[in-house]
Amino acid sequence: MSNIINTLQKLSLPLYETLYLTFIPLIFSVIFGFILATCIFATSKDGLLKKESKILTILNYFFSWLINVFRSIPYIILLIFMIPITILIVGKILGKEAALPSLIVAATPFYARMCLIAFKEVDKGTIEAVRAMGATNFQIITKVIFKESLPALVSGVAVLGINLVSYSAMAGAIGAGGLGYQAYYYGFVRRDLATLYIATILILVIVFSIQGIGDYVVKKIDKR
Amino acid sequence: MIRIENASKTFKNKNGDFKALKNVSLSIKENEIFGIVGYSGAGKSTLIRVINQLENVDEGSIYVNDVDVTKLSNKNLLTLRQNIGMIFQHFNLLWSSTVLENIALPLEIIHQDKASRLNKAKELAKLVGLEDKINSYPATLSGGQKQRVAIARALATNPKIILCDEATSALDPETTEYILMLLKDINHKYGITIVLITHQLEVVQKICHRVAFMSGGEIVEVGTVAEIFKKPKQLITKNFIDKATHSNELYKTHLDLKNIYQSGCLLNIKFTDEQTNQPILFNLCKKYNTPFSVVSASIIHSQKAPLGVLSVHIEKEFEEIKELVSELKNKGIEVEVYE
Ligand SMILES: Nc1ncnc2c1ncn2[C@@H]1O[C@H](COP(=O)(O)OP(=O)(O)O)[C@@H](O)[C@H]1O
Ligand SMILES: [Mg+2]
Repeated sequence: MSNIINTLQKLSLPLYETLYLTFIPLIFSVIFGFILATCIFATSKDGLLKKESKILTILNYFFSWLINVFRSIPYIILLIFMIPITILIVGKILGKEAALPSLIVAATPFYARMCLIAFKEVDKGTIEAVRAMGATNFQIITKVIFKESLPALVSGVAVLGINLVSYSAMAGAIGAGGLGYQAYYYGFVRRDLATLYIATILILVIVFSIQGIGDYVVKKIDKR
Repeated sequence: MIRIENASKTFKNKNGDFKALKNVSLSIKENEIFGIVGYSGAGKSTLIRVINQLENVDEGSIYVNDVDVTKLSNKNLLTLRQNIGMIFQHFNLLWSSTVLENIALPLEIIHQDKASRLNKAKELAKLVGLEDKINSYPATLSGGQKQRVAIARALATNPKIILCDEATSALDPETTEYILMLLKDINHKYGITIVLITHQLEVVQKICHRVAFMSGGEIVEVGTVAEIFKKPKQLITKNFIDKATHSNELYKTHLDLKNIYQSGCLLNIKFTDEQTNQPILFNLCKKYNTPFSVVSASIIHSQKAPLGVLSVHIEKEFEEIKELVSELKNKGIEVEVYE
């Protein structure tokens, strides 16, 4: 018993680090991803623009290309690519703060993609009905697209959160700490199985909590 | 009120162009319930959507209250749409909003303050008989109730024109009846011009004053419901009406009936207006001493007058009843004879 308490005490800092590495990037990437997706949706032909506009179409291609590229790079590689930028922003390459830029850059396109799917799921007939009321494109986006896709956006946050938990385990590679790194270090390097198990259980608790809260909120707001 | 002049529209697809409207001209009067009928793919939706410019035309003009809407600035186009209500086959409500919020949405779009728009929405909910559902979400409503919400929503800005694209096509017959009566009521009470698209002839018969038949992107025939029903000029219109009134089934039935009635003729008679209320056929048959037996009969109550379809069997050869038939025709009654 005291063994377990010992281990838990040992794991309290990594637990904090994992929560830090999950929720700080989560907040930023949800905001950035949402904005990015809105830009792409607003400039897309099948989205709202009826009239063709060269500049907006080019912007649309650029944004779409951006999220596709960054979504395609495996996180562990992105982490290394991001080192110069991390130094520029955070001023160091080790520690939990140093993992933030790469986590945000990895998670933002992921969430943007999910937002886009959610926006495109909004019933075309409903959009048309609101257009027929004389709504501006801005009103259609804010009063219809955002409102109707809210449950999907929220469930996307949960999926993203769970993804960030596993990204954060990899961020341990640059000394960001966290439960994933503890599990790897104690379990693999030091063969301390108790720590491995407890760290794993803690990670599962985080994941299931995110999933549970997400499902609960979605159920509350989904009136379909 | 609405005038469409030489409107043409081509959709450009990967596998070729498609001419959805071919030089269409049409004039819809104020306070009128105007029906546009045709098979699916005829271009009806495209035609109704050019009125509020959800679809633009390649050529031609569309006048709403003498303003050419194809030439409107973006801002004026929005104002135009704000003053035209629209109802759809699949209701197109926001499922994330309550009934009240849905009805109030057009007013939210024009920045009316919350209290007054919710007040107006409550009034409209009452009008369509949904005052006890204002806080429900669309997902919990039946199809008919959803369409009533859509109608209330279309009325929110007090429009002078309402466009209905297959508004009753997703509903069962009884609900259809209710929705049609509601539209008729609205037309009557508020003098709102209603343009109504449908592939259901019953809808047209019940509430439209005038009707246009569409086929292959063209308007093939326009007239009052009675005119077109009784004496369609175009073959395609006639086929459509025959199908809808089951006249062609009657012909098939007649073939079956041959076994029962070894001889004689089958008469398919259509009458309208005051004729419906008079014993014309009975009197004439009495005059010519020609007994008849009724095979089928139906009366449809249209907006202006009842329309009757009657099929009778007469145990005589055509030569013998020629005079009877021509006298019926002289009285303005449509008669088809199957020998
Ligand atoms: N946006 C579009 N792009 C390409 N073809 C279209 C489009 N909208 C309609 N069409 C075509 O135009 C024709 C007429 O369509 P529509 O006006 O919807 O007919 P209806 O309402 O009478 O069924 C159909 O054959 C349809 O495939
Ligand atoms: Mg249609």
